[in-house]
Amino acid sequence: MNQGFSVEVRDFLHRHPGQEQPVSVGQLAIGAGEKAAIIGPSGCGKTTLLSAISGILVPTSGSVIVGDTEVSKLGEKERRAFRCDRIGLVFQEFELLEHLDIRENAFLPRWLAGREASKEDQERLRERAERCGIADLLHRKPHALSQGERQRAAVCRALVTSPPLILADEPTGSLDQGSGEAVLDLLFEEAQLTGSTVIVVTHDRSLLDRFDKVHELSGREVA
Amino acid sequence: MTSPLLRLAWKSLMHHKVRSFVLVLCIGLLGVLPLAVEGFLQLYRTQLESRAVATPLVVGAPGSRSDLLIQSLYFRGSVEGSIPMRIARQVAEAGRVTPIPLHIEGTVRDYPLVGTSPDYQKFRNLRMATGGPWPQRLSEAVIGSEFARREGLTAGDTVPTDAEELYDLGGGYPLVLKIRGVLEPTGTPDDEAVFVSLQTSWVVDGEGHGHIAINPDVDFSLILENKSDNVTMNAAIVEAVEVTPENENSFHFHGDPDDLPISSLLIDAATTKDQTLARSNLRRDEELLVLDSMNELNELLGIVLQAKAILDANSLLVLLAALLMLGLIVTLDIKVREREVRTLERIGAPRGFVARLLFTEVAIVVGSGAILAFVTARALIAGFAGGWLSF
Repeated sequence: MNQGFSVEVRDFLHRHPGQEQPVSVGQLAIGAGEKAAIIGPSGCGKTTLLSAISGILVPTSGSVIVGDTEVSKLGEKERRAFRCDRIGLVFQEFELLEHLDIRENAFLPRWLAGREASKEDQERLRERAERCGIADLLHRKPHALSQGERQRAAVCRALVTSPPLILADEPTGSLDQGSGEAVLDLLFEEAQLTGSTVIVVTHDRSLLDRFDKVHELSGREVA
Repeated sequence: MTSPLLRLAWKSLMHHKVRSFVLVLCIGLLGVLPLAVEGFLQLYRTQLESRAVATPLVVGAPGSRSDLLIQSLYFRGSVEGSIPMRIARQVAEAGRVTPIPLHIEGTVRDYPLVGTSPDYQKFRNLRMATGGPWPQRLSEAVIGSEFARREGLTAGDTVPTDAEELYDLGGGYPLVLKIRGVLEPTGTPDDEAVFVSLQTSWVVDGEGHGHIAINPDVDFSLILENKSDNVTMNAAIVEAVEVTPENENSFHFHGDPDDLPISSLLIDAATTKDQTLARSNLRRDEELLVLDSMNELNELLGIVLQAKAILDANSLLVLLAALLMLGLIVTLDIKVREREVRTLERIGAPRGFVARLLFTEVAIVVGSGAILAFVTARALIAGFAGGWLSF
């Protein structure tokens, strides 16, 4: 079992170019292995916060600490490597490459890190794909799958490296209620099996009971 | 093992097969013409030069130098004047070099009919593939390998020479040639020629003729004049003249044999010194045009190269335009693939990875187009250059 990463955000402030009001988060702490939801109205900065935690962007000020690593202090190269190796990302629009089949999409983070998929990776993919119910779809291209299947494929890609931290940005946003529940089941099952920390940005309040913690970004401040 | 970058680039190109194929095809087509022209020029140059090197000295009547060179070496085109056979005799009598007379006037199925002496075979090192020997008797011929292949002729067959002027009743009649042999391929103009003795070519050219025995069963309305020693008949009764044992002795040439015409004279010299002396002697005669083949050829190729420089400049401009178009396509492609690029960056593509990915895709397309152009150009050249390149 993995040791999940804790996440701590302090005095976070990020100003997007051309945007008058910055995204600001005073304090946010999520323990290792917890399942946390971040909610809030559209445009309040949920995705920005998730991007800062994953190292996609560096905040204008403040710190983002993931496990023992202060991600906001890392150089770009280190942040990319950290993201590839240690974080599983699930996006609302799936972000699957149309010219790769599901198996290849799943190994994309490995390839981007300049590595081939190992035997362990292959085995993990087989096991995760079975759990996600897409074992028979691994050689299909994304356009040949339904919305629900695509999101499960995206989840499978996020899980294939057994990351200590899983970040999901509106993973159920494009899905119906049943498919959304199923995707969340997969993420929580992974957390239970591997001890990963799961942070989900969502605006679907019907799902919130299932999380250990809920953080609300109200306007531009965390609640 | 394929690198991830190369694999991703390949997958992307294969995903847009039609677009990739069209791009490769465009680049391929752009490259074919300049590559093929360059290849053809090289091939022409090599073939022309090797022939010119093997035939350093050519003598003919004053007139166009290039016409004389092209006809004497490559059996193409025609020359305005001729020189008398006497020149060949005088060169032979002077010793040191062997004169090889050429009389190139007629054609056989549009291939050049070359009247020459048996020395030509030795000079060009021509070997018989079938039959032989080199034609010495009237109406005998040996044919080049390419002519034989294309026309389906072999030793033992007969073939008439082409009628020069269909409505010229005073002109020579086609002569039926008996093919005695087929030459081995040489990759030179000899492959497409029909070789006969000088006497045969003179008969074809109307310089000599024979008298045909008349069949008493012919329509007497065709008899134009009937004297005790000679019958003159309408030309309509003769389609082609054939030399037979019965009429062979009737063939003759009027006038002095020394005055019979030849198109040119090739000089076979054993040493450079012999060649220099022969050239010097021949140049004293102002009625003769003496050519150093390589010099003349280089002048001719200089003209061709000037034309090619214009073509090269044009190709360069087209290439520049194509590169600009390719740049535009890549720019538009980046816009279309904005989402894919964003995904790669969000998942963790290293800095410059997307740029390298696009560059790899462009390199594969350009490389494939270049290979296509090269292979097509080579195929075109090989297709045309199976034998001697025709003018």
